Amino acid sequence: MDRSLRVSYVLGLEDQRCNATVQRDVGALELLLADDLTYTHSSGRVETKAAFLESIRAGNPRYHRIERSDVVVRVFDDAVAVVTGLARFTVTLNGQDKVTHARFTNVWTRGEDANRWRFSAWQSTPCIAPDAHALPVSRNPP
Amino acid sequence: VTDTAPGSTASDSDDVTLGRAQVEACFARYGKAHVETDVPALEELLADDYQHFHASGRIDGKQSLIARLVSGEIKHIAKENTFVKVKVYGRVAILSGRGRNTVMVDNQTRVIENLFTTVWIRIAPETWAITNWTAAPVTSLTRF
Repeated sequence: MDRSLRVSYVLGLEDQRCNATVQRDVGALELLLADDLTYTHSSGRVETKAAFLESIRAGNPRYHRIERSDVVVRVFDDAVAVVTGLARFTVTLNGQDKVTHARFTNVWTRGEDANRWRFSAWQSTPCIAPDAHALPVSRNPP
Repeated sequence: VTDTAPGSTASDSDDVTLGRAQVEACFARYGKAHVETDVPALEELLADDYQHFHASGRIDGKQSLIARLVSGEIKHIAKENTFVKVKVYGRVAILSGRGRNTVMVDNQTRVIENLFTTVWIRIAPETWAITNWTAAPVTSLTRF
């Protein structure tokens, strides 16, 4: 697939993942998330796929809104995509409403079932620095 | 130190096993180069488009990170890693784990613990370059 089309495709997957998270659509997430997912929150919590799905199912945290910006997708060999960006989460956590900002890196991989891409890794870091929005415009490799 | 972390996988091909060993070796060099401020090694190990998302929220690129190390603004005394896990996908590898960094800041020694995920790209048959480092602080929520 053409790289620009693949980038659009991965951005579409990102939208699906965020929508499913907000809508607590565990069935959709089950399909999108890789079995060996490692999800490292900016809070320091580390979750497997099962633990992440259980959190979504339990509604703690309850994601009300996920807004992303400065999103850059890099695709390698039409098999791996690395996505970076900023995210603003509107959540309820342990009964408290809060808004958090994080810079994230995540990885999508295409498995042996060649047409299915899965969300394989997430790591975010608290976004508190005043220069946090200063990112290169484009990092898509040639 | 390599240990088992959440999401670990098993039963890999020889290519994956080899790639994992190569990435682990490059990661060890990467840590050593930080402690020793080994600029040639860092120039080699860091991809030109390297991004370093510090647990503090600060961002560095390849040249800004090297400059901060050379100036002494960042001074690593020691770096230890545990729960290191590598997943290899063709010429891309994801290495994640938990780090304990002893650093010198304002003439005071501090120990910083963080969780990190790094992305490595194979740039030659046996050579990998790191293209992204993202870290978050270890907190009371961290379970390993």
